Amino acid sequence: MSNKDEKTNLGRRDFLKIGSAGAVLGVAGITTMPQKAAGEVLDKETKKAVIKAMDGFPVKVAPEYKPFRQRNTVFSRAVGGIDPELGAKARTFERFETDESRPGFSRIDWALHHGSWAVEHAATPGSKFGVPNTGWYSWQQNTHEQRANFLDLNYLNDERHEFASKKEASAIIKRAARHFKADLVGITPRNKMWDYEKHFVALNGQEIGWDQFPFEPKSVIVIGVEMDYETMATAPSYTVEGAIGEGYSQMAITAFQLSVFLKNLGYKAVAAGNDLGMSVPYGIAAGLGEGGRNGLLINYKYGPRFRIAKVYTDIDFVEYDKPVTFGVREFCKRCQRCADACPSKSIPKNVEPTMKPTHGGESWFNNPGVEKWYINAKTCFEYWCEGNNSCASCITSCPYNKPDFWHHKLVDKVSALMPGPVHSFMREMDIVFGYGDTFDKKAVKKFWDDKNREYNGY
Amino acid sequence: MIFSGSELLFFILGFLSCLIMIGFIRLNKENRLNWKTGSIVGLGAFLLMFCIAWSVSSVLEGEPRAASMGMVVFGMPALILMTLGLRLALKKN
Repeated sequence: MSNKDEKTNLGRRDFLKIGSAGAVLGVAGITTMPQKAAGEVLDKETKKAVIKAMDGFPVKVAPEYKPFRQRNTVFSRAVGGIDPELGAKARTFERFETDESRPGFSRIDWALHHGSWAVEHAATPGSKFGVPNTGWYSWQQNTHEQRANFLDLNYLNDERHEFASKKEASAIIKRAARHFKADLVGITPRNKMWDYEKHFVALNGQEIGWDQFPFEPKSVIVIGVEMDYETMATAPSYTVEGAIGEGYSQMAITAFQLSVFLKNLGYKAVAAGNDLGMSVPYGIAAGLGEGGRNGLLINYKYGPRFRIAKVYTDIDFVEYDKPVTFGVREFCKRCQRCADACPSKSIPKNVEPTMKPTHGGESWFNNPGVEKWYINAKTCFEYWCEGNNSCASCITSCPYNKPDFWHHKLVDKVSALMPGPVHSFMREMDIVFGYGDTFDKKAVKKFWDDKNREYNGY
Repeated sequence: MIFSGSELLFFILGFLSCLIMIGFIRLNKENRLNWKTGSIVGLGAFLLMFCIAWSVSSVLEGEPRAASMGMVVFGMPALILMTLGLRLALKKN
């Protein structure tokens, strides 16, 4: 072989060298990480740089902070007859009104809406308004003898199971929750600051104190249930109610099953949706995410695209989770996509979070004393009544609302490690790349499109 | 389906990486690249791979606009850098 040939051609020997080097690297990789894919290891290691566990509650709370009375939520006032004007508007919500010319508001979208909410309405009537002690969210702690019949599995076993360690207890509860279709689970001590000061039964206007609760809760298991990305992209519409209703229905199933699991182990438990306490601070305390500008809990994996249920229990021999931070609050300061997308302008645009509302309107539905962005829940709910659906534009438009794909995780990580101006750039890129559009007619068409879908398993 | 879209994507990316490495080694042998030219070609090749990975992933997740934008934002600089790098490399001879 000539000198020139040696220079220009990659010979067998070179191939062997490259191949051998690759094989050595591969074997080294396989032996050092026997059961994990390289991608998983990389993801785990980079997460450590981004997600930081916090020792205390990561949000500033004023010393004069007082627990919130549930009768002051918008739902309580509207449905519970406290505010007649708001009540009249609430009665127009979920009126049977379809329009075949409007994508997302046709008869089939309406049917999807009802089908999705059906379990929630049947199993936990009124819980979406925060009604406590209802259906599967019942407070009953029947013993074996008190159960209705032999098919009734929802009773407290008088033989308590003792866990070997707190860590084991926590791992078993979380594994069971995942089995019951929880996408996220965290465990935190019960904190009276985040519980409603008094419960409110919106269906009859009655207030109930914690003295009526059947036991002293020690821990709260916080459950997150994902809502479908493709369905969420149709916001606001009847179609998006499919994602929301499905989330609420799954909340009822998962929380109820987990409460029965705990009762069977001999621990008192009550499943809850929007009742008993405020889900967002409990979610923060249980390490499921950070509070965002839109007033929602932002999770690392799902962003704000999930629903929160809770299980109050008397078990305290568990390992509690720590709150986490991964740069959401810093990102929210500059992003403001939810505030821009909100059709009722109910999300504030002040850069920094504040200790009290800044929206300037009525504020009986806000509980001051926590450093956050205070949304105008009244104008938000009024828009729901006007539009006849639960909107959810603030979820759809959030840049943290993405499908579970590697490139979004990469962008999130880069964004979390970069300073403010990069966040503004990321927000603009999010818009340019076409994510987070609301009032998107194509999204509804895409949801119902049969192309590339298989239903028979092959 | 035997492989998911993502699995197939990363398999193809692995294959492409191998081809790019071989091409880079050949280019270096033939033209003795200096660090500047090597960096330009290397960065271009990396961006090209990233562009393919981003755009195919966007199609797989059902976001065609993100795929097109990926081609513009990552693909265009990749082509410019690779063309520039190759021109600089070949110009020396």
